[in-house]
Amino acid sequence: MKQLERDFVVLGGGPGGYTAAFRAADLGRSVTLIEQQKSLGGVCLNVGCIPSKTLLHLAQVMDDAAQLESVGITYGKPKVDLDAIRTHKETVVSNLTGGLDGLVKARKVERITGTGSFISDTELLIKTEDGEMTITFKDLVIAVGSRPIQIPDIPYEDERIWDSTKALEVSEIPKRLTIIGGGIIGMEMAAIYHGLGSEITVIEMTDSIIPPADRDLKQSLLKQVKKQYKAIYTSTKVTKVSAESESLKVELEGEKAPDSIEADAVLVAVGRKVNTDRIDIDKTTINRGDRDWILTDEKQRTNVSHIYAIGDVTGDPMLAHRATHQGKVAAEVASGLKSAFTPMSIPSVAYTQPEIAWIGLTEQEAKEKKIPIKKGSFPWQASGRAMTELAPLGVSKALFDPESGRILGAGIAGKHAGELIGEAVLALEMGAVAEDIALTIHPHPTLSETFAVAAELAEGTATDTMNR
Amino acid sequence: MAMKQIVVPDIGDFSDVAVIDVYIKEGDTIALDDPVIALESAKAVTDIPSPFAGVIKSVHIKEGDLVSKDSLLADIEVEEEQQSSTEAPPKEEPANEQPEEMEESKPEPEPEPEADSKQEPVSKVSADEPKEHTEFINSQKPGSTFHATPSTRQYARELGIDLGKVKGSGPHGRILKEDVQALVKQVMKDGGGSGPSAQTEFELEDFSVYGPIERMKLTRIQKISGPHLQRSWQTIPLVTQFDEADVTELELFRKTLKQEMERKPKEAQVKISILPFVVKAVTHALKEFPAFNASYDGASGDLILKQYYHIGIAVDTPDGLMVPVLRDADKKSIQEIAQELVELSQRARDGKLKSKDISGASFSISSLGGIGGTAFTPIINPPESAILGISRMEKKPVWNGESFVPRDMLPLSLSYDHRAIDGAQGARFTTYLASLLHDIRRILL
Repeated sequence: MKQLERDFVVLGGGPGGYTAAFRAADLGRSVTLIEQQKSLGGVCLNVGCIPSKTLLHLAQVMDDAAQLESVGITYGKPKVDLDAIRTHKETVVSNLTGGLDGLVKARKVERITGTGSFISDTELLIKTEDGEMTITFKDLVIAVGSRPIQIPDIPYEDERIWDSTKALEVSEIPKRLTIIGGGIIGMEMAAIYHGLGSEITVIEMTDSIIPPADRDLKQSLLKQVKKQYKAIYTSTKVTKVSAESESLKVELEGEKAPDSIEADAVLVAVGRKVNTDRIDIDKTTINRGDRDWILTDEKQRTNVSHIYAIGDVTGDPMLAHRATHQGKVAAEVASGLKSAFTPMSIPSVAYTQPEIAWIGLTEQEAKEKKIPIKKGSFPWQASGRAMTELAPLGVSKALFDPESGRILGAGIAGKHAGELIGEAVLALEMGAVAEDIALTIHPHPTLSETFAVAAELAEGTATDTMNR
Repeated sequence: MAMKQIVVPDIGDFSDVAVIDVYIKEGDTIALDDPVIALESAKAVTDIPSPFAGVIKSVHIKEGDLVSKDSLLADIEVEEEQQSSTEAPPKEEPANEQPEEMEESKPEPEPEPEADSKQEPVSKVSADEPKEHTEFINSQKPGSTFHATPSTRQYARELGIDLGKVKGSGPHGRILKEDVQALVKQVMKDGGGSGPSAQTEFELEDFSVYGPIERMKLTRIQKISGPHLQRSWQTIPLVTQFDEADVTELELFRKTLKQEMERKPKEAQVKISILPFVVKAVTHALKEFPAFNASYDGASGDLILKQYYHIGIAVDTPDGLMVPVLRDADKKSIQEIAQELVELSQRARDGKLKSKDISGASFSISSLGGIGGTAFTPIINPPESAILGISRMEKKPVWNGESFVPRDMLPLSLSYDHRAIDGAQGARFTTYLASLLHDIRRILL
């Protein structure tokens, strides 16, 4: 068997992994990147963020077009060519992954296509199409990510049971789609398939969809989807799914839910589990915590000092933008720089219609932890730009520390909320006070103004609405 | 509130390591990274930092217990519970339950240095200051007491500055880069003080353009003692007082002893060098001048006088310099001191020193007499307040009022902490010590 000795090895070519690899290469390390798939980018690029946003955009445009009917512009009912949509999605993905391949070459990163698993704290076993080899390494970054969780009593072998990966293949448009799990992924998939014409039912175990988001933010979304979807059953458990020849029978347990419903496809989107079980991690001495998440310090270092872990495999929140930042930190620390992963907030965005985005402290969290806050909240019905966009469903709010005046958190619901929240993250990291935001001139008319008005409301200086 | 367990982290390939100190007790409130226990590993003493901040509920180990990786040390009540929802929660950072790794306890190959490689006058072998401890992560949560922007946080991290100690001069108390710079300048000006170490390393050129080079790893002990020496040198305003002791009579006496010793059976023979006499004389001088057997308490400005006389003796070993401690030297005879010095040095060279053998010194002696040199400036081993260096004894012509006569002169180099000891006192100490060595009978007085 071939035995290789390498300097800086990254196991996993998702956003975190390739970022770590590229940063380390730029810092002069000799880098080896191991990825089992032929294309880089991991879940995010191939079966996650990018394909889902590609499809969500199409759903959004169709929705926008339909909305024009209310102002006198009427199109015919859209014709959906599923094969063409799939090709479009694949083109977007392959353009991006192709770009990554170019960056791998330009940075002279060694690329190995194969699976990696541990032999010990210092050695990996790599299986490729051409055979097996071992690699000893100076530094290693574990970036093997996560996969969808499966819950019991569901016949996964049936083709009509989907996970998010399968849903993003858009191989068919089921007439009735039941989604188990009303979190971000579930609600985004609901939006996609609603756009494509499916009848949507969402089943959520907790008392509300997208549990961590504040209720006032979710209100905008709920208003919309309650009209659009067949049903949303909260505080409801799926006890069993059985495959019948004509349909799937989904058995439910919940106060307001029926005993069972029928569906043509069931999407299971109840969360993700880490892939630590696929890399023989028990052959190492790496410390892991609850749910097998790899434990690291702020430098992304595990207890084994030359092994780093980044991204989903280190636990929640399992988001690409967390992984990329952690990947940089790991590469920098391993290369002798004094970096650390110390964000004040990792922003969350649900790309639903309308979108919901939040950062830092949420109101429910402030309430639970009895943290005093000063709040400014601006409903979009009073925003000129929201009206011109036909998007009055929305709210921008900001939470401030009553003592220091510094921003503690923010939430935006509405069209482009994911784009708008960027300003709030910057304000938080820079330590802005409400006055800083209020006195910063935002262009008019824009949706970005709504965040400034929220700050004005907290300050009591708003003029676009009454200060309460 | 949540209960967590503090366990022994991965300490390398060791098991059944002895607990030599327990710093915590029930009800103690400790911060993240506060030392919990001290372990005796390899050749060093290693503090185990707490992976949590909180209140100690119960302690499961005591001094002398043997522990291994994952042994339970204590239960701790931690203030905030880690959020754990599978759907992306808003803003929790990854679980930071990771004790800092302890490089110094990992066995690593070391080049064998030559036996006569350069010898530093003072060392510190206890690894109670892993380098990680001087690194400040400066993480910051919404609503924290200070605020610095991400670039300022990174800047402070690079300089090893704890942002909690920086006073912000920006709008709303925001910490600016300038504030961090100001603190660094202050620390440099104060010679370190109790502040963080702010020095940055010199930038190195590519020397290979001038000629061939080779990289050599420092020994583990050098790596551990380096930062300690640097801190000592930067923190303590030290003065070195030079003097010479006329030890002609002492040498005659010693040679007589040597002849007597040679008549004894082999196993009862003890080689008595001049060092045991110096140790003995030093304990007498320390009793006369207690400020030299003391620690300066920068926080209160007090001097802590020690009523015990444990003398650290610098020993050159293949792994680097070690400083075993001769306990209660004032209560021991010259012969006992000589005997013990031989044993300690041997154990130091064999790497068999226990942590109690290298802790608790109240004063140190570094003897380079066997090698050469006329004088040197030893660096104080904090928290001690002084150190005596001894160079090679030499026959010198000394004017006795009528003629030059050959006398055996022993060079003394006494470095002391000028914050606690005046120059006059320094000179008095060496003069007194020289007088004791000149006529060793004086120690009977």
